Amino acid sequence: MLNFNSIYKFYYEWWKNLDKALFVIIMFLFSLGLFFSLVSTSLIVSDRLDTNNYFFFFKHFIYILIGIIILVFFSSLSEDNLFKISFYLFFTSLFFLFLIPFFGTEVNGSKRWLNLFFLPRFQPIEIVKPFIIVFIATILCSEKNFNIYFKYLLTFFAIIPACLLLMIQPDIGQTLLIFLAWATLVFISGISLPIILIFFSFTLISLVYMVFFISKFAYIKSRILSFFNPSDGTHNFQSDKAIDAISSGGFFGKGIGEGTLKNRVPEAHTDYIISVISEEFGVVAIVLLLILFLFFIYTVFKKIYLEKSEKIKLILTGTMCLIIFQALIHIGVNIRLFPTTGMTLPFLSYGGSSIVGVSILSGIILNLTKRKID
Amino acid sequence: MNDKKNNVTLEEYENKFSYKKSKTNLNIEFNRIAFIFFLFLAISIIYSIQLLHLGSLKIKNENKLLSVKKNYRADIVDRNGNYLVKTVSSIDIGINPTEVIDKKKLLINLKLIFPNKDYIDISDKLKKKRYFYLEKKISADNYEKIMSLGDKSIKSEEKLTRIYPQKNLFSHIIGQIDDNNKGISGLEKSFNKRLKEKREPLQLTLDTDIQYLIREELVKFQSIFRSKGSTAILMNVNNGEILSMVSYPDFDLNKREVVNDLNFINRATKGVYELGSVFKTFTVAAGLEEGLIKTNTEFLNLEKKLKCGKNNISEYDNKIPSDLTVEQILIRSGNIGSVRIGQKLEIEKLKSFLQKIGILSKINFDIEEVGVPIPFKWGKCKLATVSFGHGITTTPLQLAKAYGIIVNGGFEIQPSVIKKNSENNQNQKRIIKKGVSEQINEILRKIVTTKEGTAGLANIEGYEVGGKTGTAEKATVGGYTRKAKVNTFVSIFPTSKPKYVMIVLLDEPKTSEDYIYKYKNKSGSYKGTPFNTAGWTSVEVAGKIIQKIGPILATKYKEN
Repeated sequence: MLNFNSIYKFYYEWWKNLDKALFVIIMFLFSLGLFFSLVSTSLIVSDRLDTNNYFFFFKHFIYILIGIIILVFFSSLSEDNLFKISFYLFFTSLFFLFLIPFFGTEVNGSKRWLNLFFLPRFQPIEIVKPFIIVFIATILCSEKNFNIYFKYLLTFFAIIPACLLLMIQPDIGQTLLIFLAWATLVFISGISLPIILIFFSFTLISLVYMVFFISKFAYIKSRILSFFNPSDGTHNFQSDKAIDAISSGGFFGKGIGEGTLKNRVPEAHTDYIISVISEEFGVVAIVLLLILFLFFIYTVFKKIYLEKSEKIKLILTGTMCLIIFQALIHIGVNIRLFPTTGMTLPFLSYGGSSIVGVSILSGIILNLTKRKID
Repeated sequence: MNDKKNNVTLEEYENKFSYKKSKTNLNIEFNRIAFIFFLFLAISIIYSIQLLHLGSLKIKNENKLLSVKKNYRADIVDRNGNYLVKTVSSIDIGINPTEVIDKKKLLINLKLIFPNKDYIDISDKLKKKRYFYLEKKISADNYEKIMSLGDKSIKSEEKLTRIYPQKNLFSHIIGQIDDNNKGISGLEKSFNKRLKEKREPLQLTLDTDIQYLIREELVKFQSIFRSKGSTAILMNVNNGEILSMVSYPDFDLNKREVVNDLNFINRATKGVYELGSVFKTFTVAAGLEEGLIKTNTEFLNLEKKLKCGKNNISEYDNKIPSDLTVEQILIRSGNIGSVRIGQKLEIEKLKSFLQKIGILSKINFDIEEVGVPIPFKWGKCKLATVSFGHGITTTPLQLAKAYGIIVNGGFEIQPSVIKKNSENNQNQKRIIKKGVSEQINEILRKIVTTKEGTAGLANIEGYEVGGKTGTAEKATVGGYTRKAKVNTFVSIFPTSKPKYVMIVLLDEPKTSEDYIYKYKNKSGSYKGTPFNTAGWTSVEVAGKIIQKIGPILATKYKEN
């Protein structure tokens, strides 16, 4: 009885202060992912792996259940506890990321997964991402009277290990994502504009140098070149197929289950889910999805406007940017505005690590947008 | 209770106070956050535009891959729409062993897709670290499968393949392309740009059926007369459309060989020959055109031999009478008579006539492999030899054009293998006087029908064949050789209103001992070739060809 009462109380407290609009958006996005998984993508993977037709839908469903538990857990923590846990989890996940070069599993040419005997196979970077934001925000908001530029330098050093570890995988998409999120945080924390300009031009030059003169990144070069020269050969196989799929879907799509891309492109259910959806439901569906994401960020930013704590402002912006940047990169790759990078679409793509990662992000967002009990 | 409340408010104030001090040194401005939002908004708008663009792409070009467009090369069809050349894009799959990550896994995957390959060999190749082709012209199914492996070491190369369903039939006209989709000979070269830029097939005036039948005869007689090569051209005299152009020996375009042997040249357009007596028609026509002679003009006391410089001009046939009319000169192919007509014409008139009908200079044609008639200096002796077709060279194509003009009523024509959409035969330019054609046609018909004529073997019933033979000895170093001859027969039909001119040229035919001739103008047959002259070789071939293609021409092309 007491037990039940405490659960009820916990639930009540959690629900009472929750930003319901955000919660609904997040749940809606998750269920959209489940829906697409049910009607279109699940069958492909099952076909390929020769399992029960809805095996992957169930797996996806279970991941989402786990995700929701994680989401509730993170959103119900007190702020202090959240920061504390994030701090520890940041280092733990970074440690896992660090293990990849030694114990990582290679899938399709990139070593991005960790397959430890006591854990299911996962991509540590998805776990690192949310906490790195909290970590950066913590450093930036440190009240020890440091010079602000010294703080920027510290945060830069904080992301360097993660970035380096990602680059040796190699996973340029995620590196870019983390770098962009960091740059956004630095930008909104009030750095003067000339410095931003200088810094960005510097990074741009070094990136160009890296891509064109370091052999390990030759694959990026070839992707970029084939991206700018789309008619050159067929080596841009996936991207060609994705574009064909979107075009063949037209404005309103071919209809549920009618798409063919999912059978032709490897990883269609993760890296090319937008094309799969677009082929079956039309580009209009994707435009609506974009609007939904924009509404999501709008709701969060509105909350930031009323927020007083600088740290919370930073974390909310950072986490939100991670989600939106990832979504935009994913869609951009699908519609051929970006060269190919293996990036999932938050909330919608299949994949345990991705769902868990995005659950943590939304948990943090829901936590920090809770009604404050003064 | 009250106390507690007060406490809380106090704390709150304290908090606010401490924020104002901003120990963090940060300066978070909301407008920068808003800026981020608008950045996302802008990107989303760009995305939406791109998405809508992609969505609307469907209507314009369905199922046309982006990659195919650049490498396109239009098909070529004959006048009836049969494919002579078709472009098929094929994909080769190669493997770059240096990029292989898991060799075992790759081999297992490949085994699943291609169970019948020699995997010991492939494994060896993988060890050698050099790029190699796994499968050429892969099937669409296997392509999807192998690309779905997502292995970076697997490379696909799209290649354009030209398929020639008619194999050898049009080898000289169509020509070849190199590996970079660039035409290197024939129409592939001269129409390279057109074939690349326009999607619709290029339509030719050629007729596959007729081409096939003509080639078949040439091949058959090649073994009978053992000639070095042969060529035949069939052209519509009224509009210059070439229905068939065969040059033998030919080659299979599908094999993509490098052809260097000179014997494989396009004899119809590139071969420059001294054609002999067929030129006598020009001499007579020129005389009629200038009004210097009539068909019944008599030339009396013709010598049997004539000496001009160090060359002797004599008759082929010693039994030829010494008094001949113009008509008889042409029918019996009299050399001396022709010389007399030529002398009556004089250099300027004969020269300008030959110029007019396009014999002397290089012809402008649809393919670039065109021979240039050997230039020479006109003189008294040259005039004499040119009058009966010696000491002057041209290509069979130009011969066809010249005869076309002479027999079609005197209208300028431009031989072509490209089908023109609009048939503007109305504004044809007359270059030979009215009436000349009719007179010539009558004589040409008599060459075939009369006993004295040299082309009796081509008198196929029902087609009103007319024509002129030409036997020329091949010029060698220091004179002519009796053995190596070029035998030509120019046939036109029907002579009452000519529609077609057909050239049959045999390059160095030999006599055949057991070929049986069936006489056309008298009963009986004759075994063995008495002489390797046009009357016994080219005429026979032409007769056989007309027998075969006649019914097709008579029915299919009744209207035009």
